[in-house]
Amino acid sequence: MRRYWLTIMLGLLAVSGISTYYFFGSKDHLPEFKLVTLQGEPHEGESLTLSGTYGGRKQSEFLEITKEGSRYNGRERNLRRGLISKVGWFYRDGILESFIGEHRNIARGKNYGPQALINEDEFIYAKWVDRRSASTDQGGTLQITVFDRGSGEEREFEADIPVHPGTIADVRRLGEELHIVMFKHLLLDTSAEIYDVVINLSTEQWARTDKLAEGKKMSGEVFNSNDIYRNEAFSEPLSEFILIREDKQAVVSGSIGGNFVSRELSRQFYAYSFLTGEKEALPAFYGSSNSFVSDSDYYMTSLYGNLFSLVQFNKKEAVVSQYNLSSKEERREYVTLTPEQFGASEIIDAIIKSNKIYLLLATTGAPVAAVVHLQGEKLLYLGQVTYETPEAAKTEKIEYLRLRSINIKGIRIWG
Amino acid sequence: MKRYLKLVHMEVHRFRYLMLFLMGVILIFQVGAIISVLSRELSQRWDDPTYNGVRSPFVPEGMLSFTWVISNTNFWFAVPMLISVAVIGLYVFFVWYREWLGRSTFIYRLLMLPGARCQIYLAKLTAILIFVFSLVSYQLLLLPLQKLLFQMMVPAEWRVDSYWPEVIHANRALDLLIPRNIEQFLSIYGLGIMAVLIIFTGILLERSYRRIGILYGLLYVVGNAIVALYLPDLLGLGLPGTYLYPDEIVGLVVGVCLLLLVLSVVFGFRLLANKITV
Repeated sequence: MRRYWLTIMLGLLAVSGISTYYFFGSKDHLPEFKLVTLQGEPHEGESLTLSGTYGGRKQSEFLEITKEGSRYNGRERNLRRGLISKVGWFYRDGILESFIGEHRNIARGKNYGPQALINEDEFIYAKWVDRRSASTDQGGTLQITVFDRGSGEEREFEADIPVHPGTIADVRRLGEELHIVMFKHLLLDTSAEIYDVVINLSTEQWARTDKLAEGKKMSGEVFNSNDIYRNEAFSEPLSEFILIREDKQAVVSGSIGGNFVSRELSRQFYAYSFLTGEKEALPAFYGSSNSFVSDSDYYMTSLYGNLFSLVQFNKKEAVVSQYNLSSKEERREYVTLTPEQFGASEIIDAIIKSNKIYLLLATTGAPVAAVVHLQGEKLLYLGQVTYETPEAAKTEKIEYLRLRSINIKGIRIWG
Repeated sequence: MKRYLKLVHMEVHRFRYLMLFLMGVILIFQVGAIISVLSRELSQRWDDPTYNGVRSPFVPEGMLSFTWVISNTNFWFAVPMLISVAVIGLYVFFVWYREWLGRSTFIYRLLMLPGARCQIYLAKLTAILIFVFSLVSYQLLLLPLQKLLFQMMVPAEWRVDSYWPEVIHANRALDLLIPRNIEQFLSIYGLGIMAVLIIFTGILLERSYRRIGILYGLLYVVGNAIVALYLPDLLGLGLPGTYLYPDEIVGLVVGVCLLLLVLSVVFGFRLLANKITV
């Protein structure tokens, strides 16, 4: 046995060193945080995710904080997560993700957010099964899956569509009509042709196609580009509208046909009603995004049902404006929220979702998060970040926690 | 079993001087770098009490941390590690080819030994794993000693504590070698073991078929690498509407890698038992 001491020693060194490090190393890490409720409904804080960095001894580490606790990204980074995150972007949508969790086989091969419609009652998915020739307008065949979440019944049918088989960008249901918004984006088009393909769910046949926007080719130094702005709401009748965004841009450097950099000159939103087929321009104020942004001013928008909301914010205040697409009623800058209202000193980030404003605020101590309903401006939730274990305060400093953004889990990200 | 252990010991014994050399290089480079960085910083502090070379917004003014020292010795930590990786990488080939070197080729004696020939293959693999994991553990063992050195050199009033995973993360070479979670450790070293096994089989193909064996060996290694690297893309990972879910694709990739690993071992055993020529 004595002859083998070198092999035995090296073997023991290999096993003990690595296992000791992974056993004790997992317990020795930067402090953990969590979000605790100070005021309001705790369930409003359940969907909140605050992200930013915590400064270590040399560099800061990216982390996310929720009510459940904190998660340092670097600590959990590995090959498996890296591979899975390659696809995460197209179904990170909280609703679709939870539906996939419940109905794995129904949603199999149907996991691309913009092609799905999910509400409490049903899951509808549209995809091309035959594009014939994508370069011509011979049309194609769409496969529609309708899954009734109540009864568990699934219906699948195919419908011939006599239009260019473009990229599906949104799916909406209004009564027995299924509206599928598509892009026809040809080479050198800066502006896509956008159309609404309507399928009758009773007859399972194509009903009509409405054009929402014209495609435009690039010419000269000024060009147009367009996109859609999806509705957060999925349920009828809230999802009657979609917005079309048209930008005018100027080439700043480079040349058309090659690489170039452009600058936005103007922006205009149009509201399209799936119900009436009418397209109307929103007041110019909502498209003047250039004037909302500076080194210290930011803005966020949201379309929820009939309400298009805009929040302009900086460190000192968040000002909300709303436009009702149905009644055309405008409430410009009707709510002003200041950090002092929440016992804070600065606004760090703000987003609007589901007719609520979510604020991340800095205080002299730990950051706080607030949720305010935009109808009645009622404070729904106020929470503060704390150490998970109070002992951490002895060795760590809360100033090293630098949160930058607030997000909401379980809501549609394709807005 | 006893014969296998004897063979493992023989391989470890043959590598002992190289192992000692690598351990010595790691020790000299890293300790030397720490002493040099700390001496420079401390002497400037002694000369000018207002001097502060620590550029971190996260540590109290003027305080030194072990993490800071490790991040400032990146290069001198990386060099001995790269030397070790290169030496062991070359030894993966040499562990086989040395048996054919010289006038009285040692492979005759190895192949004539009683018992299954697969033990030779397994012993060489085990030896390589012992070398790799011993060096990783040695590096982990050195860190507390280096921290002790740091504490001996820096006065207590200038020091601030660090977390171990943070210390390792501060150095790119260490971060790569010692991942922060066990799953990543198993993944990268698992891939490494798979690569060693595929190369072993490639070498045995060359030794079995000689000239044409070079082509077979290269094709075998390249083919396996292509399958392992491009399988996720072939299965549609990253494409919207793919039939398989990402966790299923990852599961399949792991399964295929394990299959390649087993096939390489079985193929290697068969070559060693039936095809190898001396």
